[in-house]
Amino acid sequence: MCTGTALARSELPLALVSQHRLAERLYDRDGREEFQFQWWQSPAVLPVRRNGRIEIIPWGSKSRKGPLPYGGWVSQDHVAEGLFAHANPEEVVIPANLGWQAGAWFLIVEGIRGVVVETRSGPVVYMLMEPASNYYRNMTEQSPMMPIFVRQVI
Amino acid sequence: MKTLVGFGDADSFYASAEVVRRPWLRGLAVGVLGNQGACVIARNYPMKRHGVKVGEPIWEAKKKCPTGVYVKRDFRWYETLSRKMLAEAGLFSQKIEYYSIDEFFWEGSATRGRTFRQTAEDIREHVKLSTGLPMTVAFARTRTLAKLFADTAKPYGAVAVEDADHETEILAKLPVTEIAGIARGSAAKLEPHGIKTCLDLRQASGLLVRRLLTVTGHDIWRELNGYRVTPIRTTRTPHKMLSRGGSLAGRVKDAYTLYGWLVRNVERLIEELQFHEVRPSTLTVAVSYFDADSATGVANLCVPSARFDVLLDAAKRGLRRAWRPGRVATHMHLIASGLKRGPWQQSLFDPADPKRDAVARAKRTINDLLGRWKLRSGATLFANDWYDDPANEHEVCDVRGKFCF
Ligand SMILES: [Mg+2]
Repeated sequence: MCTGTALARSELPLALVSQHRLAERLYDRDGREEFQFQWWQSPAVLPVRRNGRIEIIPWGSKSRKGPLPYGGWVSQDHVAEGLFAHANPEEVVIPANLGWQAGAWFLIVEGIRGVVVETRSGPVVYMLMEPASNYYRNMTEQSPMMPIFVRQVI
Repeated sequence: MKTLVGFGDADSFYASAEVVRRPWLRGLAVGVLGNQGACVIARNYPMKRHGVKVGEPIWEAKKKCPTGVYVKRDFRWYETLSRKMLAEAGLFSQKIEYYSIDEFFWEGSATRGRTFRQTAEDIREHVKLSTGLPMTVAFARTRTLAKLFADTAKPYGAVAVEDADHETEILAKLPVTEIAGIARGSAAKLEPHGIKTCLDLRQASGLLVRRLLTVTGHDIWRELNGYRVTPIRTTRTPHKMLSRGGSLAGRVKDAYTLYGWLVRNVERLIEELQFHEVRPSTLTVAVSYFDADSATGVANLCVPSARFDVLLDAAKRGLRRAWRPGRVATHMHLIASGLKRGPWQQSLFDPADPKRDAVARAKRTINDLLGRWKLRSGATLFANDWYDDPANEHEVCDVRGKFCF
């Protein structure tokens, strides 16, 4: 799993920050300002690079009842098998400098691969996951799955 | 012209190297994790201030330093910066030694119109400007003294200790364990004789020191007294042995996986043998176990060889002796010794094998062209996970030409 990300303040346009009230998600990490996107936040959202620009999109589903899979993560294999075949899935990049799992912040070079699906109430993004490497498991107290990183192997 | 021994040591090198390529990390607490993602193998000063120690597992470190950022090690990058530092520091001396990945010794004089102290500052500034890396620089009469004074001036220090009186003043305050090469065991031997500080050691009788700490300790004693025991070595002295191996990336019980690692290590060793143009006459396989004592197996080669089939055959014999069936292995090392340098003569026991030589040549050419391990023995498939991670292609032992880790 990866239950949170952080992105430098300077990487998000001001208009997006006010439109989505991101100031509430602004944190100071030893003098560096960053937005944190955590699964526990309500609403949970993630920045997404799509059609050449950055958007803020609701992250997954916290409801077990709706048509969407519960959670903020889907395995790449399930997507390939047609999990979202009827929801017009689109692959995107979730830009991030850091990822958060089991109490540890780890470096992300460029971002995490994600999939955006269309719903009646608009687009929703999920992180794409694969079985965790030995490294990721050890770093995250044995998380069985890890996000798929863009141009980065850990 | 007066010369002293110069010593440069990058401050928290791996972590600093990460900051160089990602300036946004500056000021943040950075920890570099080993290839298993479990232990902090290096950390910068901000993380150190939180009490995180080298070798500490991440689950402890993250409690002490919740804002810390963890990064995966990348020896390819560290080597690039290491060589850059060597080149830049080398501008100040004709004679520089590549001691370890982030430590250099050189023979140096003060730049014209500058004191040794100012020259140390100049070198430090120059290295910082040209590589982005913070380095501590010290000048002293010998290597041991220079390293000792640099250690006490960290981080980002620049010192010059030019005479015995100045040395005395500093040595009196340092416990003997501050000296690289004097571990706690040695210190315990010295203590009953009233030798606690570096100054005590310097003033002790050489005879006593040799009796307590053997020749190695005696050499340290001589260096403390201003006598240069080891010269600056500008080229690596030829290796007496070459070895490859390390962690098995987890616990290995299955014989095939162990065999996969053996073959991987044979291929890595051959690379090294070819680079140094040597052939071993003995091959030793050493295996460490989680639930049993380590074991070694020695195999002699009839004729020194660096050929895959010959070495693999010897390695198999070695592994057979070092293998403890049913036990869980954690580390494996392959050690080539009795290294012979050319020219090699054809012998009765070493018949020419043009076919196998051609295969070896093709393998090497393809890998030189397309990248390491692009063509490798099928047996390594048993240890295949390892090859999926490009960070595993390059280890600290792959940084050639330096004297120690
Ligand atoms: Mg260092």
